[in-house]
Amino acid sequence: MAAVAKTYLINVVILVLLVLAVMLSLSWGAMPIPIGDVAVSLLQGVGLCDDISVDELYSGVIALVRLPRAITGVLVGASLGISGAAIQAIFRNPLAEPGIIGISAGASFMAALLIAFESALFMAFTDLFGHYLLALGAFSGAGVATWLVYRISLVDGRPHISTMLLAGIAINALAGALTGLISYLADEQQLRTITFWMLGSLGSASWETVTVLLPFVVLTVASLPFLAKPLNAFALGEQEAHLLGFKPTQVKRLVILLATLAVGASVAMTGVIGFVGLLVPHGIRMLGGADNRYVLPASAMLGALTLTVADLLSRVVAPPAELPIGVVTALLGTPLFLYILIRDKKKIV
Amino acid sequence: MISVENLTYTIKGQTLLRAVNFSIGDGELVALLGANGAGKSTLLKLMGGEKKPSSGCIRLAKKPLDRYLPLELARRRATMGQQHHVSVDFTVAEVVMMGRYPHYAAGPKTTDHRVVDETMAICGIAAFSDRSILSLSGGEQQRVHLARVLAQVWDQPGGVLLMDEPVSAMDVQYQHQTLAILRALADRGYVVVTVLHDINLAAHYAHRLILLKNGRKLHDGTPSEVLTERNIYSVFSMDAHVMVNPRSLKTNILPLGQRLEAHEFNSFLKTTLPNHWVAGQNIS
Repeated sequence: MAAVAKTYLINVVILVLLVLAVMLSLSWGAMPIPIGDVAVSLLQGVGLCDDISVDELYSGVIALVRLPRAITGVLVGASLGISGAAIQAIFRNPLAEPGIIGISAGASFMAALLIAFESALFMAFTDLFGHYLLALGAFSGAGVATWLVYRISLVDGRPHISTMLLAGIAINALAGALTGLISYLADEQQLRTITFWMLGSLGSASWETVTVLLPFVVLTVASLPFLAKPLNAFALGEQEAHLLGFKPTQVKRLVILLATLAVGASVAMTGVIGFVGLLVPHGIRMLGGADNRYVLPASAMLGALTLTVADLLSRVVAPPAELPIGVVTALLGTPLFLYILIRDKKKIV
Repeated sequence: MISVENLTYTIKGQTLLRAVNFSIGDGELVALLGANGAGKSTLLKLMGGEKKPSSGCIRLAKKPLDRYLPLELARRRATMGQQHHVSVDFTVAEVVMMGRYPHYAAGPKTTDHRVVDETMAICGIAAFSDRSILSLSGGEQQRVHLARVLAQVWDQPGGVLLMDEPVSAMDVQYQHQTLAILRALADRGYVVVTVLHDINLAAHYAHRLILLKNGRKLHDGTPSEVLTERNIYSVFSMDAHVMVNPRSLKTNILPLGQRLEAHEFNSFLKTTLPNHWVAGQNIS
């Protein structure tokens, strides 16, 4: 019972920190906005506090620029966190992450391809059509790569997890090589665009981004926690999960489908953001244990928090320039990951 | 009650089980014995619904096994596999609670918590209920899985327990305690089938022994009926002395041991070894 109270507390703490981080990210930036004005203009957005006046410029910046960006960060972070936790559970491997089934590599390849050929097709990706074509291309790249990995892993019509791991590595390598080839052939400007895309950014986030992401993310974040029991049972082995009355094949298919939808849509909108899907579930398990009834929702929240903080840092470190968010998450994530490694090394002895 | 009718299992051109027939009633503890690769584990997996027979039929309470839904089966049959590797740092209590998963939907009920407490107590692991399973020794981990498997059918009278070498990593005290628990459950109406390598353990606790060789059922009966020197040799290619334990009055076997003669041992040696290593050379 004490454990339940502890996980409840962890969730509350993360939620409070998330709200704080979102408020700060609305307040900080090239044009600082007092946090009180942020709160008021948010409340006015839901029809409260109409009697207090806020600078129209402030509320404009919040409504048109910072709020959609913050929400995009929350949605993408939640997708990466919860998908990472579920993928680690079906792979029975704490080093698995959504990228292992080819989502990011497939998306990167398609994005690089489109960027390299853009000059032949249309003017620039700064226009809306170009942006959506890039997103659509990246999403379908993610889908095709994952589908390939899944198909290759089928043994007697069922996904075989260690084969899937190897197929994932192979498809990742192939897509990586093709992306490299395109980068080699690309001109300076295209190369820069490809590089920035692969390092991830929330810079282009708008309300359209939020609208596109929302259904995918909500579907995944709302459904995966229902698989908590079978995903726990996977820790015993697929056969044991089957003996406990679950259907491992269906569970694996569902997890792969939901992760591909949410992470594929996220990657399509913001580029590749590494380490969140790998590290966030680890952090959650270190804090409050391995029960997926707690790990899945908490990973979604910590993922959202991590990405919000990373985006905040990427904007305030060297304004008005922005660091690529993938660089920030990796810079923050690597020391944490090494810490886990070193800590677990002590456990092995 | 579980019945195996004319069961054959073939995979990749190899027949692992041939025309096996038997039936086990409620309240029976049956030990499956046989040499490595005799088909014991395969038989257990078929009986648990993990594999599908190539031909023949297995019935649980007269209903063919393949007519059960996975969840329906999980509520009345628990299987303890040979190997366990928990991939994530779950606590002991969390692993045992997994045995109750078929019985509740969203969160565990009072019954589930009670069952977990009881099975942890009887398996002697209540003291480490909050520890990570990965921090335990092999024998202790095996007891955790035993508690989990017992929890799955603990409140299901007439349930079926299928155990594949459940005591392989345990010390002698817990080997006997585990078999005593299984026997007590059988005496309360459970069907218990267990693969064992220790013939004496089987002879002490089982109502009945089934001896397999090369996928066929060779002998089937009470320990005193089945455990003859001739039968033991036919199944294990091993000479043994069979006796009645004067204190427990159970059938015991005493293996007579084997000796690898020098010329036999040398016939395996293809490596060049120092002369005095070669068996027989240095023995007066």
